[in-house]
Amino acid sequence: MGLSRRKLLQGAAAAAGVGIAGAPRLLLAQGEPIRIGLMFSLSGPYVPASEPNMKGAQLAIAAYNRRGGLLGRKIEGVPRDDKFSGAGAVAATRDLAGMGINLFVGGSSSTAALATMPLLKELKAVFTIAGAAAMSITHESFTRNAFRVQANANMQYGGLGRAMAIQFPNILKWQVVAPDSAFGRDAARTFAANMRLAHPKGASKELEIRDPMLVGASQSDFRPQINQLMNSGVEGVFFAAVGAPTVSFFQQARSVGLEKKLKAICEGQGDVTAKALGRDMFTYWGPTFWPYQIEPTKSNKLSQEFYKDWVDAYKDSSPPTVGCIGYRAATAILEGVKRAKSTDAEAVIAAMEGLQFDSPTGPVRLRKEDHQSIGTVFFAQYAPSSTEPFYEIKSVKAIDENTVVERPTPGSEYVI
Amino acid sequence: MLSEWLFSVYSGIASGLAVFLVAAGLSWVFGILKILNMAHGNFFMVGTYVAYSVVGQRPESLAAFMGASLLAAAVVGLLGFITDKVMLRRLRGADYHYVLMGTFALAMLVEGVVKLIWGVDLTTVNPPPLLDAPVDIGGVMVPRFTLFAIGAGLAVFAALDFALNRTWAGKLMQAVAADPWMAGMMGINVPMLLAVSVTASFALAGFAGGLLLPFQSLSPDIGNSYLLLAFFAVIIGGLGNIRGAFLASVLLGVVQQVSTIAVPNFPGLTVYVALAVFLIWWPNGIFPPAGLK
Repeated sequence: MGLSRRKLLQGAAAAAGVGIAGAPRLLLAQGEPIRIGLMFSLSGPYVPASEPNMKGAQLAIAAYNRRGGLLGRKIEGVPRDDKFSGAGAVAATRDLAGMGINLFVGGSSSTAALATMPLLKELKAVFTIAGAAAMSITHESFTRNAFRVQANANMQYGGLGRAMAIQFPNILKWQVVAPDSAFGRDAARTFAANMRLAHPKGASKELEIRDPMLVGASQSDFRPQINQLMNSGVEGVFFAAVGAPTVSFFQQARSVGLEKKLKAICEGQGDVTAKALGRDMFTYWGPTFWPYQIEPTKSNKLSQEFYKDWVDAYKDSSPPTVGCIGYRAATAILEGVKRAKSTDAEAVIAAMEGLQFDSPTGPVRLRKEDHQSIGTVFFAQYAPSSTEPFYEIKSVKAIDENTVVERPTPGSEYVI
Repeated sequence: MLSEWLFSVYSGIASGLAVFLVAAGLSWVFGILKILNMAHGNFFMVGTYVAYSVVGQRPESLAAFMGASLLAAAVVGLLGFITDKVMLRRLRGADYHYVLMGTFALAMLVEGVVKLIWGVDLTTVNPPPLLDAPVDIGGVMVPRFTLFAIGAGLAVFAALDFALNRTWAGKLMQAVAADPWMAGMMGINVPMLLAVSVTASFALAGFAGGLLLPFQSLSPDIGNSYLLLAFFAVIIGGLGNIRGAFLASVLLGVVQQVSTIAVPNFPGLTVYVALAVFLIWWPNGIFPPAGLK
C-alpha cells in the first residue's frame, strides 16, 4: 500500500495535534520539581546537631540541581520540624504526604525515626534516615521503606568502644553515662560489648565496665552524677547523649575539674561539643562524621566540593561534621531515584537495595537485607587550640564498618 | 556514700533555687492577672542571650556579670511592657483556652526570633572568675557558682516577699489581685498596676536568664529546661503564691537530685511522681490561691 501525499499530510497533522494536546502536560512535567521532604528536629535539644544535618541534605540537593537535576527535573527540599518527638514526626510526615511528597530524608532522633517508619508503607513512601542510631530501626522495627544511611549504635558506639580499648589499654575502669532512651541504652551496651572484645584484658575481670548511669534525655543539670563520678574511682567515662545535654555535662564537669581527674573521656557527637566549649575546650575523644581536614577525606573530590559549598552557602569555614550525615542520606535517595529512573516508591526501594555510591567520606553500600549502610566510621581526638574555633583534631582513627557491623536480622531484635 | 547524699541535697537546693528564679515571675503574673504565661521560658531565654551578647563566653568580673543580668532584666521587662500593650491586656477576662493558645503562639514567635538573631549553635558561658573555681567543702568539690545561685535565689525571694507583703505598692497589688473591680472603685489605677506587674514579671525572667547563664549550655532550648519545673513549682506551691513557689521549687529540686542516687534507673520520673503526690494531698497547692500572698 502506497503512502499518498494526502495521507502523509493527515498523519503529520494528527501527530502535531497530539503533540500540541500533550505539550502542556509535558511542559508541566519538566517544570515540576521532584520534592524531597526534609524532616529534622528544628526545635528541642537536638537542634544544634540536626539543623546542620538538614543543611547537609540541602547542599546535596543543590549539588544535583547544579548538575541538571534528576529525570530532567529540578529537585526541591521541603523542610519540616519533627519537633524532636514521635507525635511531631508523624504530623510532619502526614503533612508532607498530603502535599504529594513520597521521598523523605531526616529522622535526626531515634524517637522521630521510629514514629515515622510505620507510616511509610501506607503512604507508599521511601525514607532515608540521617541521625537516628537505635538498633531497632534495622532490626525489630525494620520496614522495607526505610534505609539508614549512617552508622547504627553498634557501629558508632561499638566502634568507639573498640577505638578506646586500643587507644587506652591501661584504663581498666570505665563508666558509661547514657540517656534513658532506646538510643542511649543501645549506645551503652554496644560500647561496653565492643570494648570488651577489643581490650587486651577484655576477657578478664580486671576490665571493669560499670552498669550505665542513666540520665534524662533532655536533662540539663548533671552535678550529682558528676559528683558520683568524681568519687567513683573510674578512669574513663563515655558520655553517650547528644545535643545540649552533652555540652552542659562537659561544662559542669569542667567546673569541678572532672576532666583532670579522668584519664580518658569520650562522647557521642564530636565537634558540636568542641565548638560549643570554645575557649574552655579540653581533650576528649568523639566521632567525626566528616574528617575533612585529614587524609584521605581531605583529597576526596566530593568532600572538597561539599566543603566549598558549605563555606559558600553558610559562610562557616568550620562546618559541623554532622552535616555530612544529611548529605549522605539525601545523596542515597537521589541516587536511588536516578537508578530507578522514577520516583515511584517500589522502584526506588528496589534501586536502593544493594546500592553503592560515593560520599565525602568514601564509598557507601546499602546492605540489601536490612537497609543498613556500610562505609567507614571515624573517631577523633579533639584538643584545645589557641585559634578559632579553639579546637583541633589531633588524630583520627578510621574503622571499616564491615568489621563492626552486626549480621543482618531484619524483623528480629538485635542481640549482642 | 554519705557525702554523695549530702551533695545531692545541696545540689537539689541549688537547682531548686535556680528554678525559683524562673518560677517567681510566672507565679507573680498568675497571681495578679490569672494568666498562665506559656512564653515565660522563652523570655527567660531572651534574657540569657541578651546577657551573653554583653559578657561573651568569659565574663570579666562579677560586676560585669551582674550588670549584664540587670540589662537583660531591663530589656526583657521592656519586651514585657510591649507584650502587655499589644497582646496580654486583650486577653484579660478571656477564656483561659485563648490565653494558653495566645501565649503559646507568642512562645513560638519569640523562639523563632531568637534563632534568627543568635542562631541555633550551642555555646557555653563561664561564671565570672570569682565564681569559677570549685570550693572544697568537707572533701566534696562544690562549684562556687552554685553557692552564688543559692544566694541569688534567696535574695530574690526575700526581696519579692518583702515587696509584696511589707510595702504599700505590694499591698495595692494584693488588693488588685483579690478584687480588681473593688480596687478600681477605691481609686486604685488598676490598668497601670497590671502593666507594672507584667513588666516586673518579665523583668524577673530576664534577670533569671542573666544570672543562670553559666548554669548550663546556652541554646534556643534553654527556656524549656526550666519552664516545666517552674510550672510544677507554681502548681504545687499554690497558683500565684510566691512563698508557695519558693517552697515547691526547693522541694522539687531536692526530690529530683536525690532521686539520681535513690532511684538511678528512673531519671526524671520522680518529679512527676512528686507532682502527682502533691496534687493528691494538696489539690489546690500548699498555699491555696486567694489572691497574691
